[in-house]
Amino acid sequence: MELKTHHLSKFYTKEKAAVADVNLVLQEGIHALLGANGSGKTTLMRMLCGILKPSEGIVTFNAKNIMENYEEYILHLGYLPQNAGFYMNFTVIEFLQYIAVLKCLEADYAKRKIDELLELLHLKEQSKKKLRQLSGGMLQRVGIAQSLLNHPKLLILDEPSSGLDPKERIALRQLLSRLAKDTIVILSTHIVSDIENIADDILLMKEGHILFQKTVTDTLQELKGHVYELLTAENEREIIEKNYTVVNCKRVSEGILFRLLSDDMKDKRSIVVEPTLDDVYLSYFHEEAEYVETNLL
Amino acid sequence: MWKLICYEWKKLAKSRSNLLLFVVLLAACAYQIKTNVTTDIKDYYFVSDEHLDVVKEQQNFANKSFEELQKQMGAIHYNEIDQEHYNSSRSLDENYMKVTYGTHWKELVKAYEEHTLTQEMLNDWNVMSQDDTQQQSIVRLEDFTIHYLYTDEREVSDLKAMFPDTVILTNRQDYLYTKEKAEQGSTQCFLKECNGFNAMYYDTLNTRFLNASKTYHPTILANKYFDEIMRVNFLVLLLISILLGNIYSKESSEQTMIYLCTSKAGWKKVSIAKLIVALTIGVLIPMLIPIISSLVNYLRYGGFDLQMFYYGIGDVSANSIVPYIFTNGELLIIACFALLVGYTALTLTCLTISRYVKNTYIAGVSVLMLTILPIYNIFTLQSTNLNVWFPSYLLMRIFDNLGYTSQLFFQFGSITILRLWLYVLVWFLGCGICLLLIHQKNKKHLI
Repeated sequence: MELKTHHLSKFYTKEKAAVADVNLVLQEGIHALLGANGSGKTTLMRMLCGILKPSEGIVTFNAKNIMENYEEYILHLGYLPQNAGFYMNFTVIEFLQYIAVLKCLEADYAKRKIDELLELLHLKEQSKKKLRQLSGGMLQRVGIAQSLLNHPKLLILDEPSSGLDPKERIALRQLLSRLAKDTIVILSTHIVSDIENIADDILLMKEGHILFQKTVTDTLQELKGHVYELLTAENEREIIEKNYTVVNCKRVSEGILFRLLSDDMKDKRSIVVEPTLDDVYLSYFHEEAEYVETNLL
Repeated sequence: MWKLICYEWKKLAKSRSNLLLFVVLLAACAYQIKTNVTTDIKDYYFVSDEHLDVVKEQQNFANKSFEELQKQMGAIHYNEIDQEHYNSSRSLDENYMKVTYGTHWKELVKAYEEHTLTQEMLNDWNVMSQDDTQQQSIVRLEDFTIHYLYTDEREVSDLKAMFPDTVILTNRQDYLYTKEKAEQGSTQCFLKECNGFNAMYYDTLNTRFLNASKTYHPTILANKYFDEIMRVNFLVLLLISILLGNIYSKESSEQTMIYLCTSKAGWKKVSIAKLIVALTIGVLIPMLIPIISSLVNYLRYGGFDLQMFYYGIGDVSANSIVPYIFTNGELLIIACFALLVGYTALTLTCLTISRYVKNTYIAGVSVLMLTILPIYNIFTLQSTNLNVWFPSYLLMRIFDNLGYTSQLFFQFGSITILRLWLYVLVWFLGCGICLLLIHQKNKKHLI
């Protein structure tokens, strides 16, 4: 099973591409699409789903152009859109039954599958509640349930963990790990902890370009020796922030403990530490982080 | 497919506001049916076959058949003066002519008809007239007109004797009189004054005139129920429009379109399900009003009250002429067909707007405009008929602005004229374009 993109691009305006010349080869496993807001993740995912026509390039699933074989492709597709909408006046079970009808599932199979997913996603008790009565996290789980109804071979999840509490996020990770054996799972997020332990590879996206597609180990390896911890006094804060990329800072009894990124660390008080995906993310999206931080201050 | 249709209904019914609108719609329909079957206007609109036969016999007796007249018309080149010579049911108003033009009136008329009348003749015979300042002056050649009386007034008298409870008038008023003249109750016509039509329609109008002048219709009396029927009908149209406006736009605004885009069932099936629901609301339910009303009347009085089908389409007085041209069966088919076209056009227009407008409120307002415009027209232009309800009204206005047609063209009585079929054809095309636009939008898989 293989999903490929060939020079895939999408232009909303003539000047700037939302997605630019993306070439990917994805097989069974979890592929994490990592990028800042506005980097083109959702546009890419919509093109992978076939609901957005690319300006250039094609997507193939098992060597067949998805737009030319859309009816066949859709059979294997499960999609959770970002900020998914719902028929708020339907109950959970009515909503899933309607999606089953839309996906042309056999009634018996749909009934069994709905029961199974309600159990799996801890929605059994809410099954007869109207969707408008559910919390954001519960709605997100209903959205995940609908994407899994047809037992998809290709599962595309756009920000699936948004709105979920830590316990639900752990459950989601476990569920995805289980599915990944025989499914291509494409997962977009900007919450790196969601993918750190489960993703087989990471696709880092910035300004419409895929910067790299690597395994988590390779990604981390690349940053080895560039991540430091530095304990400083309070009055050194401004100098540190000026000279280094700050991943994290924590006030401790002795002063402030900084986690820093640097290619050229000169401060001898610093200690080299193991990199995490947060460090990788920040090394690529340094500007966005600075912007956010400045605004917050 | 039926499951998809059921879920489309469910989507509408699960929303409290929609459910409320739907209940009000059904209540309005039920009220209208009740009004239709209890109102006393049925006595005026009711046309039995027996009644029809008597009138037709009178028509045959009165003059030549329509077909024969048409043959005559085909051979003649029409111009403004010629029109005056081809109504065999007219005669000169001798008294008027004598009083107005003096002792030489016969010579004047002869010369006028032979196109040899000159200003010198008028001067020589001292033909005087009064101008606006009440001063006597010689009549100018271009002001000279011949005054006619209509011999078919005798037939009107006969019919009046035959149907004492029915007010009989000639149909000329509807076609060639200006409205003001008709309202004054005049039964005379100066053809030269009937100049509200473009030259290109003279032949059509003349043909219709010859046909119409030999038919009679009961005058429509103002009825206290009539306004109520109109109001309810508008309420029905408004409710339909609001409900239909929701069908696609709600999916867009609530971001549920994505499920339809990525469904195995496919856009085609989902769209057909939506279309079936829309047609049920927009066509079937309003069509049930006249059908049920007619059936009830049939069971109660043993005949169809065909007027039930008309008030949504054309001018009432024009409608009442058609029972004398068509049989009841033909009328039933024409009326159903015309209503179907109208309601289908409205439904598809609403659905297209709903598909293209992503915001429910904007869609609602746009679709409301569609039905409010005719109301505006009714209250501002003092129109009393529903042929102005939006799709047909807009089209009529466009045609009017292009100088293509007049109001008469759209009256239901003109169904015999080929151009009405062009009008219907244009609406079919309009419906086709609406469907195509929806299909195109769906085909793109875009959200």
